[in-house]
Amino acid sequence: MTRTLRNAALWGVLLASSFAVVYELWALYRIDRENAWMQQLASGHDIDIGKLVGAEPEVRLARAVYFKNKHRYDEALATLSLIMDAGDRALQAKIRYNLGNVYLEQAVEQAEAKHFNEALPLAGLAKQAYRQALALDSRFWDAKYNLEVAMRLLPEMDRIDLKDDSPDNRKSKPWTTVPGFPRGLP
Amino acid sequence: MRTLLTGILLALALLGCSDRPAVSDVELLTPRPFGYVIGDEIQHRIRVETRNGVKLQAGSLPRQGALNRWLNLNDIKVEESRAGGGFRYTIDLTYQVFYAPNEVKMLTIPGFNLVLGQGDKTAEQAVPAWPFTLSPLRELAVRLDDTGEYKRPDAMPPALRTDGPVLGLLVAGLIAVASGAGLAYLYGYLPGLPRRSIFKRAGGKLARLSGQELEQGLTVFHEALNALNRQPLFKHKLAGFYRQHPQYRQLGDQLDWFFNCSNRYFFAGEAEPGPEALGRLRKLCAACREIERGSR
Repeated sequence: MTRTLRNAALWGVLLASSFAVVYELWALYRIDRENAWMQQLASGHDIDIGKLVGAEPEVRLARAVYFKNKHRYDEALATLSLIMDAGDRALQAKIRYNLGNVYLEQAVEQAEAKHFNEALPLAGLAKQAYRQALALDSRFWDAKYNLEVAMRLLPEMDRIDLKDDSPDNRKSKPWTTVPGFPRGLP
Repeated sequence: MRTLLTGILLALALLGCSDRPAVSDVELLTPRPFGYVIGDEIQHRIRVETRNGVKLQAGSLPRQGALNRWLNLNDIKVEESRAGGGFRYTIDLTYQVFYAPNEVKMLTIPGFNLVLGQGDKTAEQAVPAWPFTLSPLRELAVRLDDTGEYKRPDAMPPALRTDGPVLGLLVAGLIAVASGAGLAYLYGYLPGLPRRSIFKRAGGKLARLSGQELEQGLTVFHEALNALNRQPLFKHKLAGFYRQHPQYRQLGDQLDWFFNCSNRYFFAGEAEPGPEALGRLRKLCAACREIERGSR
Protein backbone atom coordinates (compact mmCIF):
# COMPACT_ATOMS: atom_id res chain seq x y z
CA MET A 1 0.00 0.00 0.00
CA THR A 2 2.81 2.37 0.97
CA ARG A 3 4.74 1.50 -2.13
CA THR A 4 1.68 2.05 -4.29
CA LEU A 5 1.10 5.47 -2.73
CA ARG A 6 4.76 6.34 -3.15
CA ASN A 7 4.69 5.33 -6.79
CA ALA A 8 1.50 7.30 -7.38
CA ALA A 9 3.06 10.36 -5.73
CA LEU A 10 6.16 10.00 -7.89
CA TRP A 11 4.02 9.74 -11.00
CA GLY A 12 2.20 12.88 -9.92
CA VAL A 13 5.44 14.77 -9.39
CA LEU A 14 6.74 13.57 -12.74
CA LEU A 15 3.59 14.69 -14.54
CA ALA A 16 3.50 18.08 -12.82
CA SER A 17 7.17 18.76 -13.45
CA SER A 18 6.85 17.63 -17.07
CA PHE A 19 3.95 20.05 -17.48
CA ALA A 20 6.07 22.80 -15.91
CA VAL A 21 8.91 22.02 -18.33
CA VAL A 22 6.54 22.34 -21.29
CA TYR A 23 5.09 25.56 -19.86
CA GLU A 24 8.52 27.14 -19.34
CA LEU A 25 9.62 26.12 -22.83
CA TRP A 26 6.49 27.80 -24.17
CA ALA A 27 7.24 30.92 -22.09
CA LEU A 28 10.79 31.05 -23.48
CA TYR A 29 9.46 30.70 -27.01
CA ARG A 30 6.98 33.54 -26.39
CA ILE A 31 9.67 35.81 -24.95
CA ASP A 32 11.95 35.16 -27.91
CA ARG A 33 9.08 35.85 -30.34
CA GLU A 34 8.03 39.08 -28.58
CA ASN A 35 11.62 40.33 -28.42
CA ALA A 36 11.81 39.78 -32.17
CA TRP A 37 8.59 41.80 -32.62
CA MET A 38 10.03 44.65 -30.57
CA GLN A 39 13.17 44.64 -32.72
CA GLN A 40 10.99 44.67 -35.83
CA LEU A 41 9.05 47.69 -34.51
CA ALA A 42 12.26 49.47 -33.52
CA SER A 43 13.57 49.01 -37.06
CA GLY A 44 10.50 50.83 -38.41
CA HIS A 45 8.30 47.92 -39.46
CA ASP A 46 4.83 47.40 -38.07
CA ILE A 47 3.56 44.07 -36.83
CA ASP A 48 0.16 42.47 -37.21
CA ILE A 49 -2.24 43.82 -34.59
CA GLY A 50 -3.46 40.27 -33.97
CA LYS A 51 -0.08 39.48 -32.47
CA LEU A 52 -0.61 42.04 -29.74
CA VAL A 53 -3.45 40.11 -28.13
CA GLY A 54 -1.97 38.58 -25.01
CA ALA A 55 1.45 40.07 -25.68
CA GLU A 56 3.47 41.69 -22.91
CA PRO A 57 2.96 45.47 -22.43
CA GLU A 58 6.53 46.08 -23.63
CA VAL A 59 5.43 45.11 -27.16
CA ARG A 60 2.64 47.69 -27.10
CA LEU A 61 5.07 50.28 -25.78
CA ALA A 62 7.40 49.53 -28.70
CA ARG A 63 4.44 49.86 -31.08
CA ALA A 64 3.52 53.23 -29.58
CA VAL A 65 7.07 54.42 -30.23
CA TYR A 66 6.74 53.18 -33.80
CA PHE A 67 3.47 55.13 -34.24
CA LYS A 68 5.01 58.29 -32.81
CA ASN A 69 7.99 58.03 -35.10
CA LYS A 70 5.53 57.80 -38.00
CA HIS A 71 3.65 60.87 -36.63
CA ARG A 72 0.57 58.72 -36.05
CA TYR A 73 -0.06 60.39 -32.71
CA ASP A 74 -3.65 59.26 -32.12
CA GLU A 75 -2.71 55.62 -32.56
CA ALA A 76 0.28 56.10 -30.28
CA LEU A 77 -1.94 57.62 -27.59
CA ALA A 78 -4.53 54.85 -27.97
CA THR A 79 -1.81 52.21 -27.66
CA LEU A 80 -0.28 53.82 -24.58
CA SER A 81 -3.64 54.27 -22.89
CA LEU A 82 -4.11 50.49 -22.98
CA ILE A 83 -1.00 49.84 -20.90
CA MET A 84 -1.00 52.76 -18.47
CA ASP A 85 -1.26 50.49 -15.42
CA ALA A 86 0.65 47.52 -16.78
CA GLY A 87 4.06 46.32 -15.68
CA ASP A 88 6.25 47.41 -12.82
CA ARG A 89 7.04 50.98 -11.71
CA ALA A 90 9.98 51.33 -14.09
CA LEU A 91 7.84 50.34 -17.08
CA GLN A 92 4.98 52.59 -15.95
CA ALA A 93 7.43 55.50 -15.72
CA LYS A 94 8.56 54.80 -19.29
CA ILE A 95 4.97 54.59 -20.50
CA ARG A 96 4.18 57.99 -18.95
CA TYR A 97 7.41 59.49 -20.28
CA ASN A 98 6.61 58.31 -23.81
CA LEU A 99 3.08 59.63 -23.38
CA GLY A 100 4.55 63.00 -22.44
CA ASN A 101 6.78 62.84 -25.52
CA VAL A 102 3.75 62.28 -27.78
CA TYR A 103 2.02 65.34 -26.29
CA LEU A 104 5.18 67.45 -26.28
CA GLU A 105 6.00 66.74 -29.90
CA GLN A 106 2.51 67.77 -30.92
CA ALA A 107 2.68 70.86 -28.68
CA VAL A 108 5.98 71.93 -30.25
CA GLU A 109 4.57 71.42 -33.74
CA GLN A 110 1.47 73.45 -32.91
CA ALA A 111 3.48 76.20 -31.22
CA GLU A 112 5.82 76.51 -34.18
CA ALA A 113 2.77 76.72 -36.45
CA LYS A 114 1.44 79.54 -34.20
CA HIS A 115 -1.57 77.42 -33.19
CA PHE A 116 -1.31 78.48 -29.58
CA ASN A 117 -4.79 77.39 -28.51
CA GLU A 118 -3.94 73.84 -29.52
CA ALA A 119 -0.40 73.96 -28.13
CA LEU A 120 -1.38 75.05 -24.61
CA PRO A 121 -3.39 72.01 -23.49
CA LEU A 122 -0.95 69.65 -25.19
CA ALA A 123 1.99 71.13 -23.30
CA GLY A 124 -0.02 70.91 -20.10
CA LEU A 125 -0.73 67.23 -20.73
CA ALA A 126 2.94 66.62 -21.51
CA LYS A 127 4.01 68.21 -18.22
CA GLN A 128 1.46 66.17 -16.33
CA ALA A 129 2.72 62.95 -17.90
CA TYR A 130 6.38 63.80 -17.17
CA ARG A 131 5.56 64.66 -13.58
CA GLN A 132 3.81 61.31 -13.19
CA ALA A 133 6.86 59.58 -14.68
CA LEU A 134 9.15 61.39 -12.25
CA ALA A 135 6.90 60.60 -9.31
CA LEU A 136 7.39 56.93 -10.21
CA ASP A 137 11.12 57.27 -10.83
CA SER A 138 12.79 60.46 -9.61
CA ARG A 139 16.07 59.48 -11.33
CA PHE A 140 14.57 59.41 -14.80
CA TRP A 141 16.92 61.97 -16.41
CA ASP A 142 15.27 62.02 -19.82
CA ALA A 143 11.93 62.80 -18.17
CA LYS A 144 13.58 65.63 -16.21
CA TYR A 145 15.07 67.09 -19.36
CA ASN A 146 11.89 66.89 -21.41
CA LEU A 147 9.81 68.27 -18.54
CA GLU A 148 12.12 71.26 -18.56
CA VAL A 149 11.62 71.54 -22.33
CA ALA A 150 7.85 71.45 -21.83
CA MET A 151 8.03 74.04 -19.06
CA ARG A 152 10.18 76.33 -21.18
CA LEU A 153 7.57 75.99 -23.90
CA LEU A 154 5.12 77.66 -21.55
CA PRO A 155 7.48 79.78 -19.48
CA GLU A 156 5.00 82.23 -18.04
CA MET A 157 2.74 79.53 -16.73
CA ASP A 158 5.46 78.33 -14.41
CA ARG A 159 7.09 81.55 -13.32
CA ILE A 160 7.41 81.59 -9.59
CA ASP A 161 6.35 84.33 -7.27
CA LEU A 162 7.42 83.01 -3.93
CA LYS A 163 5.18 85.40 -2.06
CA ASP A 164 2.10 84.30 -3.90
CA ASP A 165 2.47 80.63 -4.60
CA SER A 166 -0.17 79.06 -2.47
CA PRO A 167 -2.62 76.67 -4.20
CA ASP A 168 -5.45 79.15 -3.71
CA ASN A 169 -3.77 81.81 -5.77
CA ARG A 170 -2.68 79.74 -8.72
CA LYS A 171 -5.59 80.51 -10.97
CA SER A 172 -5.36 84.24 -10.43
CA LYS A 173 -1.91 84.62 -11.95
CA PRO A 174 -1.84 87.46 -14.40
CA TRP A 175 0.85 85.99 -16.66
CA THR A 176 0.20 85.71 -20.31
CA THR A 177 0.43 82.20 -21.71
CA VAL A 178 1.90 82.51 -25.17
CA PRO A 179 3.76 79.30 -25.76
CA GLY A 180 7.09 79.12 -27.54
CA PHE A 181 10.76 78.75 -26.85
CA PRO A 182 12.75 81.90 -26.10
CA ARG A 183 14.65 83.05 -29.19
CA GLY A 184 17.49 85.48 -29.64
CA LEU A 185 19.23 84.63 -26.40
CA PRO A 186 23.02 84.51 -26.31
CA MET B 1 24.72 62.26 3.70
CA ARG B 2 22.39 64.30 5.53
CA THR B 3 23.73 67.18 7.48
CA LEU B 4 22.26 68.52 10.57
CA LEU B 5 20.87 71.84 9.45
CA THR B 6 19.51 73.00 12.66
CA GLY B 7 20.72 71.70 15.94
CA ILE B 8 18.46 71.17 18.76
CA LEU B 9 15.69 73.71 18.88
CA LEU B 10 14.47 73.99 22.39
CA ALA B 11 10.77 74.29 22.49
CA LEU B 12 9.56 77.48 24.02
CA ALA B 13 5.93 76.78 23.67
CA LEU B 14 4.07 76.14 26.85
CA LEU B 15 1.03 74.08 27.34
CA GLY B 16 -1.70 76.39 28.39
CA CYS B 17 -1.04 77.54 31.94
CA SER B 18 1.58 74.88 32.55
CA ASP B 19 5.12 76.04 33.24
CA ARG B 20 6.67 73.00 31.64
CA PRO B 21 7.48 73.05 27.90
CA ALA B 22 5.51 70.56 25.76
CA VAL B 23 8.58 69.63 23.70
CA SER B 24 11.90 68.56 25.14
CA ASP B 25 13.82 68.17 21.88
CA VAL B 26 13.31 69.05 18.20
CA GLU B 27 15.64 68.24 15.31
CA LEU B 28 15.26 68.95 11.62
CA LEU B 29 17.57 66.71 9.60
CA THR B 30 18.04 67.91 6.03
CA PRO B 31 20.29 67.00 3.07
CA ARG B 32 22.64 69.39 1.22
CA PRO B 33 20.94 72.65 0.24
CA PHE B 34 22.32 72.85 -3.32
CA GLY B 35 22.78 70.87 -6.51
CA TYR B 36 19.18 69.94 -7.21
CA VAL B 37 17.51 69.76 -10.60
CA ILE B 38 13.93 69.44 -11.72
CA GLY B 39 12.25 66.22 -10.58
CA ASP B 40 14.65 65.57 -7.69
CA GLU B 41 13.36 64.25 -4.41
CA ILE B 42 14.38 65.93 -1.16
CA GLN B 43 14.03 64.09 2.12
CA HIS B 44 13.53 65.79 5.45
CA ARG B 45 13.37 64.14 8.83
CA ILE B 46 11.93 65.79 11.89
CA ARG B 47 12.50 64.33 15.34
CA VAL B 48 10.34 65.58 18.16
CA GLU B 49 10.32 64.47 21.78
CA THR B 50 7.42 65.52 23.93
CA ARG B 51 6.92 65.58 27.67
CA ASN B 52 4.22 64.33 29.99
CA GLY B 53 2.11 62.42 27.50
CA VAL B 54 1.88 65.33 25.07
CA LYS B 55 0.89 63.93 21.67
CA LEU B 56 1.40 65.16 18.15
CA GLN B 57 -1.80 65.99 16.31
CA ALA B 58 -1.53 64.32 12.93
CA GLY B 59 -3.80 66.91 11.34
CA SER B 60 -1.09 69.54 11.71
CA LEU B 61 1.26 67.72 9.35
CA PRO B 62 1.33 68.85 5.72
CA ARG B 63 -0.92 66.85 3.45
CA GLN B 64 0.45 64.49 0.84
CA GLY B 65 0.14 65.87 -2.68
CA ALA B 66 0.82 69.20 -4.32
CA LEU B 67 1.93 71.83 -1.79
CA ASN B 68 2.19 74.51 -4.43
CA ARG B 69 2.74 74.83 -8.16
CA TRP B 70 6.26 73.42 -8.14
CA LEU B 71 6.47 71.33 -4.98
CA ASN B 72 4.91 67.97 -4.21
CA LEU B 73 4.92 66.11 -0.95
CA ASN B 74 5.19 62.56 -2.24
CA ASP B 75 5.35 60.69 1.02
CA ILE B 76 4.99 61.30 4.73
CA LYS B 77 5.71 58.72 7.41
CA VAL B 78 5.30 59.19 11.13
CA GLU B 79 6.74 56.80 13.68
CA GLU B 80 5.71 57.10 17.29
CA SER B 81 7.43 55.54 20.29
CA ARG B 82 7.37 56.03 24.04
CA ALA B 83 10.20 58.09 25.50
CA GLY B 84 10.19 58.80 29.21
CA GLY B 85 6.84 60.22 30.14
CA GLY B 86 6.17 61.53 26.65
CA PHE B 87 6.55 60.40 23.09
CA ARG B 88 9.28 60.40 20.45
CA TYR B 89 8.13 61.17 16.91
CA THR B 90 10.15 60.61 13.74
CA ILE B 91 8.53 62.30 10.76
CA ASP B 92 9.95 61.53 7.30
CA LEU B 93 8.89 63.86 4.52
CA THR B 94 9.73 63.24 0.86
CA TYR B 95 9.34 66.32 -1.31
CA GLN B 96 9.71 66.46 -5.08
CA VAL B 97 10.57 69.65 -6.97
CA PHE B 98 9.04 70.47 -10.35
CA TYR B 99 10.49 73.84 -11.18
CA ALA B 100 12.42 74.70 -14.35
CA PRO B 101 14.77 77.58 -13.57
CA ASN B 102 16.62 79.50 -16.27
CA GLU B 103 19.61 79.83 -13.98
CA VAL B 104 20.60 78.60 -10.54
CA LYS B 105 17.74 79.73 -8.36
CA MET B 106 17.03 79.69 -4.67
CA LEU B 107 13.71 78.18 -3.65
CA THR B 108 12.27 77.48 -0.24
CA ILE B 109 10.38 74.51 1.08
CA PRO B 110 7.74 76.18 3.24
CA GLY B 111 7.75 75.72 6.98
CA PHE B 112 4.77 74.66 9.02
CA ASN B 113 3.64 74.40 12.61
CA LEU B 114 3.35 71.11 14.44
CA VAL B 115 0.43 71.11 16.85
CA LEU B 116 0.99 69.23 20.10
CA GLY B 117 -1.79 68.52 22.47
CA GLN B 118 -2.64 67.07 25.85
CA GLY B 119 -6.32 66.89 26.60
CA ASP B 120 -7.85 70.13 25.40
CA LYS B 121 -4.59 72.09 25.71
CA THR B 122 -2.50 72.62 22.62
CA ALA B 123 0.81 74.21 21.75
CA GLU B 124 2.59 74.78 18.47
CA GLN B 125 6.13 73.99 17.46
CA ALA B 126 7.41 75.72 14.31
CA VAL B 127 9.31 73.73 11.69
CA PRO B 128 11.39 76.29 9.80
CA ALA B 129 11.30 76.85 6.04
CA TRP B 130 14.25 75.33 4.21
CA PRO B 131 15.98 77.22 1.39
CA PHE B 132 17.92 75.39 -1.31
CA THR B 133 19.19 76.06 -4.80
CA LEU B 134 17.93 74.48 -8.00
CA SER B 135 19.91 74.33 -11.26
CA PRO B 136 18.68 74.11 -14.85
CA LEU B 137 19.33 71.05 -16.99
CA ARG B 138 18.90 72.74 -20.28
CA GLU B 139 20.97 75.52 -21.75
CA LEU B 140 19.35 78.85 -22.53
CA ALA B 141 20.63 78.92 -26.11
CA VAL B 142 18.29 77.29 -28.59
CA ARG B 143 19.40 73.81 -29.48
CA LEU B 144 17.87 72.16 -32.51
CA ASP B 145 18.04 68.69 -33.96
CA ASP B 146 16.46 67.03 -36.98
CA THR B 147 13.00 67.21 -35.46
CA GLY B 148 13.29 70.83 -34.35
CA GLU B 149 13.62 71.64 -30.68
CA TYR B 150 16.04 69.21 -29.08
CA LYS B 151 14.30 66.70 -26.84
CA ARG B 152 15.32 63.46 -25.32
CA PRO B 153 14.14 60.48 -27.36
CA ASP B 154 11.46 57.99 -26.41
CA ALA B 155 12.24 55.30 -23.91
CA MET B 156 12.45 51.97 -25.68
CA PRO B 157 11.05 49.05 -23.75
CA PRO B 158 13.66 46.72 -22.32
CA ALA B 159 14.05 43.32 -23.93
CA LEU B 160 11.98 40.77 -22.08
CA ARG B 161 14.13 38.83 -19.68
CA THR B 162 14.43 35.07 -19.84
CA ASP B 163 15.83 34.59 -16.33
CA GLY B 164 12.54 33.47 -14.77
CA PRO B 165 11.58 30.86 -17.37
CA VAL B 166 15.17 29.57 -17.60
CA LEU B 167 15.30 29.11 -13.83
CA GLY B 168 11.84 27.54 -13.85
CA LEU B 169 12.90 25.23 -16.67
CA LEU B 170 16.00 24.12 -14.79
CA VAL B 171 14.11 23.48 -11.56
CA ALA B 172 11.21 21.70 -13.27
CA GLY B 173 13.64 19.71 -15.44
CA LEU B 174 15.65 18.59 -12.43
CA ILE B 175 12.50 17.56 -10.57
CA ALA B 176 11.24 15.69 -13.65
CA VAL B 177 14.56 13.87 -14.08
CA ALA B 178 14.75 13.04 -10.36
CA SER B 179 11.18 11.71 -10.21
CA GLY B 180 11.68 9.81 -13.47
CA ALA B 181 14.87 8.26 -12.11
CA GLY B 182 13.05 7.36 -8.91
CA LEU B 183 10.31 5.60 -10.85
CA ALA B 184 12.85 3.82 -13.04
CA TYR B 185 14.60 2.61 -9.90
CA LEU B 186 11.36 1.40 -8.35
CA TYR B 187 10.35 -0.39 -11.57
CA GLY B 188 13.78 -1.95 -11.95
CA TYR B 189 14.63 -0.19 -15.19
CA LEU B 190 17.93 1.14 -13.96
CA PRO B 191 20.95 -0.94 -15.04
CA GLY B 192 23.29 -2.08 -12.30
CA LEU B 193 20.54 -2.54 -9.74
CA PRO B 194 19.77 -6.28 -9.99
CA ARG B 195 17.59 -6.51 -6.87
CA ARG B 196 15.00 -4.38 -8.60
CA SER B 197 14.86 -6.68 -11.60
CA ILE B 198 15.13 -10.14 -10.03
CA PHE B 199 11.70 -11.34 -11.12
CA LYS B 200 11.98 -9.47 -14.41
CA ARG B 201 14.98 -11.59 -15.37
CA ALA B 202 13.41 -14.72 -13.90
CA GLY B 203 10.25 -14.06 -15.88
CA GLY B 204 12.30 -13.76 -19.04
CA LYS B 205 13.98 -17.10 -18.41
CA LEU B 206 10.65 -18.79 -17.59
CA ALA B 207 9.15 -17.47 -20.80
CA ARG B 208 11.86 -19.18 -22.83
CA LEU B 209 11.34 -22.58 -21.24
CA SER B 210 9.24 -25.24 -22.90
CA GLY B 211 6.50 -27.11 -21.05
CA GLN B 212 8.80 -30.07 -20.36
CA GLU B 213 11.47 -28.05 -18.58
CA LEU B 214 9.72 -27.77 -15.21
CA GLU B 215 12.94 -28.56 -13.32
CA GLN B 216 14.73 -25.56 -14.83
CA GLY B 217 11.65 -23.43 -14.16
CA LEU B 218 11.54 -24.39 -10.48
CA THR B 219 15.28 -23.77 -10.21
CA VAL B 220 14.99 -20.34 -11.82
CA PHE B 221 12.25 -19.27 -9.40
CA HIS B 222 14.16 -20.68 -6.39
CA GLU B 223 17.19 -18.66 -7.45
CA ALA B 224 15.07 -15.54 -7.77
CA LEU B 225 13.60 -15.99 -4.28
CA ASN B 226 17.09 -16.76 -2.87
CA ALA B 227 18.48 -13.60 -4.50
CA LEU B 228 15.67 -11.51 -3.04
CA ASN B 229 16.08 -13.14 0.39
CA ARG B 230 19.90 -12.84 0.15
CA GLN B 231 20.07 -16.47 1.35
CA PRO B 232 18.41 -19.75 0.39
CA LEU B 233 14.70 -19.65 1.13
CA PHE B 234 12.83 -22.74 2.29
CA LYS B 235 9.20 -23.18 3.08
CA HIS B 236 9.71 -23.18 6.83
CA LYS B 237 11.52 -19.85 6.57
CA LEU B 238 8.65 -18.14 4.78
CA ALA B 239 7.46 -16.40 7.97
CA GLY B 240 10.82 -14.65 8.31
CA PHE B 241 10.77 -13.81 4.61
CA TYR B 242 7.33 -12.18 4.99
CA ARG B 243 8.59 -10.10 7.89
CA GLN B 244 11.37 -8.73 5.70
CA HIS B 245 9.22 -8.40 2.60
CA PRO B 246 5.63 -7.97 3.80
CA GLN B 247 4.35 -7.06 0.36
CA TYR B 248 4.85 -10.70 -0.73
CA ARG B 249 2.50 -11.95 1.98
CA GLN B 250 -0.42 -11.41 -0.41
CA LEU B 251 1.05 -14.20 -2.58
CA GLY B 252 1.26 -16.60 0.39
CA ASP B 253 -1.03 -19.28 -1.11
CA GLN B 254 0.81 -19.28 -4.43
CA LEU B 255 4.23 -19.39 -2.74
CA ASP B 256 3.01 -22.29 -0.59
CA TRP B 257 1.95 -24.04 -3.78
CA PHE B 258 5.36 -23.37 -5.31
CA PHE B 259 7.27 -24.82 -2.38
CA ASN B 260 4.95 -27.86 -2.21
CA CYS B 261 5.34 -28.41 -5.93
CA SER B 262 9.11 -28.04 -5.66
CA ASN B 263 9.31 -30.47 -2.72
CA ARG B 264 7.20 -33.02 -4.53
CA TYR B 265 9.29 -32.72 -7.68
CA PHE B 266 12.74 -32.77 -6.18
CA PHE B 267 12.25 -35.02 -3.11
CA ALA B 268 9.19 -37.20 -3.77
CA GLY B 269 9.64 -37.57 -7.49
CA GLU B 270 6.02 -36.62 -8.06
CA ALA B 271 5.71 -34.14 -10.81
CA GLU B 272 2.66 -32.11 -11.77
CA PRO B 273 2.00 -31.87 -15.48
CA GLY B 274 4.84 -29.70 -16.80
CA PRO B 275 2.97 -27.17 -18.94
CA GLU B 276 0.30 -26.56 -16.31
CA ALA B 277 2.80 -26.11 -13.44
CA LEU B 278 5.03 -23.93 -15.57
CA GLY B 279 2.04 -21.77 -16.45
CA ARG B 280 1.22 -21.26 -12.75
CA LEU B 281 4.87 -20.54 -12.09
CA ARG B 282 4.93 -17.90 -14.78
CA LYS B 283 1.82 -16.25 -13.27
CA LEU B 284 3.43 -16.34 -9.84
CA CYS B 285 6.60 -14.81 -11.23
CA ALA B 286 4.55 -12.08 -12.98
CA ALA B 287 2.78 -11.32 -9.69
CA CYS B 288 6.15 -11.09 -7.95
CA ARG B 289 7.34 -8.81 -10.73
CA GLU B 290 4.40 -6.49 -10.13
CA ILE B 291 5.26 -6.31 -6.44
CA GLU B 292 8.89 -5.73 -7.38
CA ARG B 293 7.82 -2.75 -9.54
CA GLY B 294 5.64 -1.37 -6.81
CA SER B 295 2.51 -1.59 -8.93
CA ARG B 296 0.83 -4.15 -6.65
